[in-house]
Amino acid sequence: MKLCVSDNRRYLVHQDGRPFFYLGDTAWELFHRCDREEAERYLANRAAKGFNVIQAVALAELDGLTTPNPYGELPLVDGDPARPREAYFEHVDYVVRRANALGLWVGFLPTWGRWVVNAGWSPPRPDEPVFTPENARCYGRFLGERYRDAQLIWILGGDRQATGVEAVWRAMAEGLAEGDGGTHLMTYHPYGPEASSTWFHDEPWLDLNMIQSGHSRRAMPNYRMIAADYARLPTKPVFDGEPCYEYMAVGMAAGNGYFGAHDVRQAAYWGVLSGGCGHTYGCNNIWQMFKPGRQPVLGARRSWVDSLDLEGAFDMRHVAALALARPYLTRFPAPELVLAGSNGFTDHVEAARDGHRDAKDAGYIMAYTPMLNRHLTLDTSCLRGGRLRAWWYDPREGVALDLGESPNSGVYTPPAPDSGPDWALVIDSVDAGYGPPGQAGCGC
Amino acid sequence: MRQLSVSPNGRYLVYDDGAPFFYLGDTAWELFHRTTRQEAELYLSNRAAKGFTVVQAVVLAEIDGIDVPNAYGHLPLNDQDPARPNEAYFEHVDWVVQRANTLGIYVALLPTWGKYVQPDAWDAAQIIFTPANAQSYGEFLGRRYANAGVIWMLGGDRQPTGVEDIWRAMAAGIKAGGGAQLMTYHPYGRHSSSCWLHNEPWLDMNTLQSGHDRRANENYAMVSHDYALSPIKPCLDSEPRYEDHPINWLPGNGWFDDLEVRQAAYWALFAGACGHTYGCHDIWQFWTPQRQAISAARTDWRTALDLPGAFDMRHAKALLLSRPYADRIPDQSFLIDPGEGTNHVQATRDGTPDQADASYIMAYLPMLRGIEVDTRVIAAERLCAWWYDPREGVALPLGESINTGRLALRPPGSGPDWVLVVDDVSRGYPPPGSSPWKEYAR
Repeated sequence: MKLCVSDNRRYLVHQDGRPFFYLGDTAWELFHRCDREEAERYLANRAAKGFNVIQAVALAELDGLTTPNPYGELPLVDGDPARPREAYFEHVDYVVRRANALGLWVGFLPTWGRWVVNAGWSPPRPDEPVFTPENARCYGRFLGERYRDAQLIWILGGDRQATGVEAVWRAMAEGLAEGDGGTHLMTYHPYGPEASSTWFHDEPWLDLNMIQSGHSRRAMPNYRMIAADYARLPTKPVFDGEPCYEYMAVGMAAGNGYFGAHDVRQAAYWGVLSGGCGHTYGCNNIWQMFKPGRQPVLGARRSWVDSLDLEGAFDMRHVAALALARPYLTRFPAPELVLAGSNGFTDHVEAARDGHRDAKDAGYIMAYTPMLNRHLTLDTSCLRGGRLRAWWYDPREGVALDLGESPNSGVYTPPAPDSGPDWALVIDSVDAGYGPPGQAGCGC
Repeated sequence: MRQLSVSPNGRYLVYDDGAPFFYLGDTAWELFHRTTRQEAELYLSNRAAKGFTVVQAVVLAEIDGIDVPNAYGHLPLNDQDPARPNEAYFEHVDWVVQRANTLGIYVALLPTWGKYVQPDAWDAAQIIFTPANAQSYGEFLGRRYANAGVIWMLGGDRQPTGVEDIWRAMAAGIKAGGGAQLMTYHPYGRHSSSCWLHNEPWLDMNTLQSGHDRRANENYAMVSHDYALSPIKPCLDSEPRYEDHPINWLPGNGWFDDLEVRQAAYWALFAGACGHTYGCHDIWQFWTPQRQAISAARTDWRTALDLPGAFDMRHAKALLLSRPYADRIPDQSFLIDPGEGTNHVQATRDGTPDQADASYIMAYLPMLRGIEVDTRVIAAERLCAWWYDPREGVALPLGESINTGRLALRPPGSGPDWVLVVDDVSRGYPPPGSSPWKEYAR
């Protein structure tokens, strides 16, 4: 099993060419804080919800070098990346195997960024770099060899900028590739709001870009960050690997309220329709595996077990189902199709279509509106054939409402639904003969 | 009522003695048309107690105002002819205007809603105006309210395109009748009077409507646009997102609340507006459960009188009048990171553009977030900083410090929105919002 970049360099595909929609969850502390039973519970829950990538860190942020895992094991001898401890990695092996057995890929972070760069983070967890280019290469080779046959994607970085330590990451990437023979995709998880492309776009080891749109405010325009990377040459896939977490305090201050399912959906649809090759969900209680007795980080206030079934987590599969319900690899962002009903910021509508830019060959158009809007109007002149069929796709339920067929006059204004607030609009060419969006498969 | 005029620098409104007049408006569009004397009294006294200084009300009202009589059975016009007003209807208008003035409130008097002037798509227009009868109706109003505390507000939620001559005739009529008060024009959503009328000699100030279509509508950009126009005229947002209004008119989107209301007010004011208008969706239409709701109004107007946002408006006025006001300017240049969208910070200060001569700076944060300011803009060795709570109108002192050129702060834990105030210690300003600047104290 292997993942590759699609021929047009925009998306991820399986070895046989089938689309792979990266639908991630942040479980940064999974290896470090969960025992086997907890890991099983977590992974089974995520697999059942349709996630297919679990982002977890070997050398974890929350004092991963000095606080042992549930079995009393530390990852490194004397905090030296050149001397990994077998017992710790046996547990990592187990979790990776279980994830893979459940059909989940692991977005594997060799280390959190605080062990690589001193970015000046404050107590209680200041940055404490332990890496050099030499031991990074050595550690990379160790991991590459160990997980050569596992289903994973290497994620360097770990919430930090790379400025000044590019050589360490480069050496680690090279070590990983030496170890696994280049069998795995590789990306970099930056600090928010930042993009891996800032430092590494031209590096040959960087197969795809990751942005972190982050937690600083509501309605963060992650679509702009995606669009910026989408436009870069050479072309590489890009996705939002850390948007606003469900149940995270907005701006990391409780007085602002908390991000909810709507914020989470908005980030996902904006991130995907603006050109993302997938999306990562996250929950503030889960990434840190918070439970009573643990020090809450960033205002965590509910145990991870009780947070597995938050509304937003259920909604994510509908994003993937929508994207895959129509020809996927030929989709491209087409914001110019939105003629009315989008004024930027909180009412921003993102749109995409398939076919070729400047050609009237689209089989479908998809758009996402974060709020009910009677004025939403799309340019449908790019659809092939003379008739269109439109659907409202409910991003809460994954169910489509048929808006019926009509002659394609070149513009389309759907009737606003009663409930909401957010909806995806799908407009098909009748000629394409598609069924309701979101149902499994598209016959492609 | 004392005469109002535009300040010498063209930015603000002032009383006849030069003291600042802070336009703090409320939208009571249907006040003349739908309320009894007792109801008008209840409304006006509530607004006076909350510190509002202007109520915006329409003579020929939007909601069937020329077909459905007022609370006393009177229609405004005979045979719907603007040249033939019905005395009985106007006697009630007189009474309401007098009561408002007695309570210290000016009336932004709209002669008519735009639907009777401008044929437009979204509302069943009933065009009854011509340039000739607009002139006649204007003269009638100008004569009748020549000595009242009114601000003439033409427009009424429509663009003037194609009917400019009617508005010009009405303006000329008002003046011919003796109505010498300030005059402006209320446009439709996401537009300003300046879009069409900035150079009209009768337009003393610009009025914009940022409207109700989305959260965090960046009305500061609209104010900034009008602020930069030449010739200089005062401007204000006369219809921002109403409290208790369904977002984008659709309840499925949720409802605008007090935070949205404060955000609109502080963003507009700090961007350079000469005042601000609050509005409540239930109140403008004087909705009661017995009435058909316009755009899903849901709260009896008498209950809505005391929604939290309505209480908060006075604190914006109190804050700005507790420091020298006449030479206040918008200035984003001292913000290290002004943010954007939902965390956009809007800042203001006194002094001169491009000169480091401020005696105070103020910055509105719509959410809890860090803020860093370049304090070299304040010409002082010692600074005094405050967090001003826009919910309570109370300032938390942060103490004095040496002016090192930079100040980095985080607001208190509750919120979400706050105003940072930094003063030149040597000026001896009172706590923000606590009392008027001494020159304005009367």
